[in-house]
Amino acid sequence: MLVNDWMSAPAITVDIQDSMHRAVELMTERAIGILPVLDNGKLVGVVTDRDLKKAAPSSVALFETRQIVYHLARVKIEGIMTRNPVTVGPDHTIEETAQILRENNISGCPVLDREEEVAGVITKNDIFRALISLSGLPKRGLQFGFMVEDRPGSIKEITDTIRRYHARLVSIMTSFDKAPSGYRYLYVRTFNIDRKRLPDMKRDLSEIAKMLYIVDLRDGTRETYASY
Amino acid sequence: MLVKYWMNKDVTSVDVDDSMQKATNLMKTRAVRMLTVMKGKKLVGVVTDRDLKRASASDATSLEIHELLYLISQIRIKDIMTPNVVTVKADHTLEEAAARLLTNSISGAPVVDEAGNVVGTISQTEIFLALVSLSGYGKQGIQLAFQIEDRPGSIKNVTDIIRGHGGRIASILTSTSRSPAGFRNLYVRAYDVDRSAVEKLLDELKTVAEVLYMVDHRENKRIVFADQPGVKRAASSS
Repeated sequence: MLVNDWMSAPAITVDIQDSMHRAVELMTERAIGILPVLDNGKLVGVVTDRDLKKAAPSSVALFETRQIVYHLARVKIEGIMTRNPVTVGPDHTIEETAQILRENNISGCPVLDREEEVAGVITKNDIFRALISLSGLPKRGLQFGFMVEDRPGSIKEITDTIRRYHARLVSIMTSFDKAPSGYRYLYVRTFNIDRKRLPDMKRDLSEIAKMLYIVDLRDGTRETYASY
Repeated sequence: MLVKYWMNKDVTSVDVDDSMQKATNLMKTRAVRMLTVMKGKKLVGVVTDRDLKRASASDATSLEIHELLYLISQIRIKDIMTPNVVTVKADHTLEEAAARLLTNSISGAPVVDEAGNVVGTISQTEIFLALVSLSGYGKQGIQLAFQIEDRPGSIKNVTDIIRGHGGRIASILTSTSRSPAGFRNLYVRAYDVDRSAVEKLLDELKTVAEVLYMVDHRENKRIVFADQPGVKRAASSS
């Protein structure tokens, strides 16, 4: 999952000499929240909807329309943009990018290629879309939560059992976060399960690992087991 | 991956008749971007930093400061809040919560239990933290991407080879949204892989699947095998 496959490209940009009006227009028409700012084709900053809000007349203030129009036309991007923006490369993974956005407390950033050209823009929403696409087809299949021993082969035992029932794998995620020492949490998403054989499969699985929950995404039924 | 496990349990709420000033102060001191709005014990809305920003004075205002302060002091939460709030259930999965936030174009939502009581909040930020943690990114391993045939056993071929090189699986993710019919993309994150034999690992993997890329987070090394002759691209990638 590289940024390249999920970013918006080509990026919609503004020039440093453009008016604030131009930025408002682009963000409204294209429904975007961040615009890379270029100076002679080089990235020098970003302007976000937050920058615009900060610089725009408030809805409480009783401005006349013509004052607002004048204000928007007069203020230049240069005066309201955020300089030295955070960037990522098209060959960054979605997870790295999520971490970078989080560390900098921003909702998106420009993507710069090797030639330092703006290749696109990646936002939290793009990353969300990637996440949802990875979670498989909506309203299909089952998700299981387990606590397994942290040793080689502990995941394989579970996937082998699932395969024995001819169920297909969508995703596996693991976490050591908050798990007791020597254990990890394992989350498995599957599809193509014969619901009639589900009780047998559950029994086999609970013999090799501690089952935390089952969510059947087809009909929305949920079973949560103790202490989770 | 249930919401209740990853949500923020420290809920900050305001009363529907509180002043906007109180909401502003709470958001600052608690460093949160959304407050739940209660009427007694009932959830009636949320107020976000966006709602506050919209109702606040800007740098560009021409009002006198005392006029502004008076106007702002008169604003109640109920005037600026978002009513008919979208909620997420505590026993839903993170993916379900993410989908709900995305389809409603919101950055967070209150989490309710079966009885409808507010038990927490979940935002894009919490889901991000969960995503990063669950993908095993923190283990400083490698991520490999493949295009595989969509048939039973095609993932196992890949994971068996990675395990054969000492790799421990942190996550396996698949997607059909960017691949042509009959194929899916597979993303495997593994750690403890023998770095001295990565070339051999890649060669073996290429015999069972089309390798799209490898990112080694520990070595900060990225190899993208773009546009290989064998890789079938979806008709439209955007």
